[in-house]
Amino acid sequence: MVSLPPSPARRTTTLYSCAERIAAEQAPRAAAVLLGLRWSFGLPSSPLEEMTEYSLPLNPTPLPAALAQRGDLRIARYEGDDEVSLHDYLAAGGTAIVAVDVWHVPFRPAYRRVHTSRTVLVRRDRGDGRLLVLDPWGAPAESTVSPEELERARSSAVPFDAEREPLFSGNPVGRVWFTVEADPFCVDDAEDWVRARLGWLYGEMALFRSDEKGQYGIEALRTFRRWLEARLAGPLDGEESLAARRGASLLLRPELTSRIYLGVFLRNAAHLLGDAGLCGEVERYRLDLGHWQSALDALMKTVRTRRPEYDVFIRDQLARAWDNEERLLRTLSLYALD
Amino acid sequence: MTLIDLTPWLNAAVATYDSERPHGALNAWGNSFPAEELPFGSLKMVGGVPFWFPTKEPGRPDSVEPLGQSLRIPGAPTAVGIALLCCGEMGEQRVPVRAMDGEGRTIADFVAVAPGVMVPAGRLPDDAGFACSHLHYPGDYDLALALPAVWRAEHWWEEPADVARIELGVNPLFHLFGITLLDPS
Repeated sequence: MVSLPPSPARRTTTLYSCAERIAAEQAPRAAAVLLGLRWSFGLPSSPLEEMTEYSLPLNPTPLPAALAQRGDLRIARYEGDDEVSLHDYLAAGGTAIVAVDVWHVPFRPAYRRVHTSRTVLVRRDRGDGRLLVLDPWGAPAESTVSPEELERARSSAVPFDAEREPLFSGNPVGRVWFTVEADPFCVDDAEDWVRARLGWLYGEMALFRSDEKGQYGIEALRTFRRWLEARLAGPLDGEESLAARRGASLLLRPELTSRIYLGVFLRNAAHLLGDAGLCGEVERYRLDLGHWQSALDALMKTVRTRRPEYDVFIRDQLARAWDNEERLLRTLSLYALD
Repeated sequence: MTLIDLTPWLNAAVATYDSERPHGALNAWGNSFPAEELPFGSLKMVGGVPFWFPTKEPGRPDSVEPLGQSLRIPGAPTAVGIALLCCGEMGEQRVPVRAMDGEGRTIADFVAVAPGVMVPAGRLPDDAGFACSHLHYPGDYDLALALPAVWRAEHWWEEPADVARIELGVNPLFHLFGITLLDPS
């Protein structure tokens, strides 16, 4: 029988999706590239279940700092309104990415039905004080909410609901919001620019680092691989198994998202360098991200429905996904900086 | 056309009646097809191809998730192709499929592609599939925003051959509702 080719990796977190939309308004055609100037794997030392739908991959150099340095894409994260007021920012005409509990967003199906947190785009509506909200989840929808409704959505505790929202509930929103700024993309020496970034990517893959928040690099990915495989080889049911499946899903999702954008950068880099070998490796990397997607989707499925055959499939897909990362490491080693 | 009865291989429940909506298992969020709208225990034409839906009992399996099953086909009918009625959980899904004759020879070895199960309301499939009027949620309600859909996928081979066995690969995100062997006519 022919082997199973992966379906394309396709799903992004709402934070990445919103950031790309804003960045695309300011840096047309370059937004996805600028979001992909990072290879990262961060294994948090804190419980994985504390991650949210809009968490960014963990790294001692936060992703926004790396993206700012490498592509001048500036993502700022705020908690609350002490430093900068969200409503002042919106009143000044800005578009913000705002974390919400959709339970409080009247025009969405989850309104007063399901506590589930994600990020939405918010901007001032025309004159009447209401706010225009674009929710990119599922079939994107846009409508207005009152400032009071937005405040309730920003302040929700998002109580855990294992039945209706087994993944993206259980962690308070905490009035988190983001801004994104980019400049029209322009570099003097494209080949030099690309080579430097490929070198940085290799460095952050190859270098193992750790701090009080977690461990990082491909060695951290190998550690996570052993941890997850041990959990999948254990009992199907029980609190520990369920927590591991939920936590691993929450970790793998933003990590996959960052790789989808990384793939866009790598494809452009390979073409800019005219490197046919790199082009081939990058296309294979992008294709094989589908194994990560399949493993993640099946892992999420097991949060509700578990059977041994599912775990066999997940382990197989994860093994292919890990091999894909190891292959990228070898490919990028050719671009290691001195 | 030979309509395959999938009853012996049903292993997943992705449709619920109104009385059992909390038991949906189409995805991690417990959504499900409205069972009343799927023609269980009868024939359904999709794009000119008939499919047989096995009988559905509340709470019981109604579809097949490919987990490496080998389907013996009674009478080894002659066919020049195969049609699957299917959908992909969490978006497009693929699964290897192999059709074999009575001597164990491979007739066709291909990858079936199932489009994603959800379509936005107002963008219903043409004759490539059909969508239900609403989606069941585990909170014991239903909405008509994202609609669950099933799709027809076909694969043809060059010479008529007697199909005695169909082997499915493994992909638990691929949902199979019906199989029809396409005859030379």
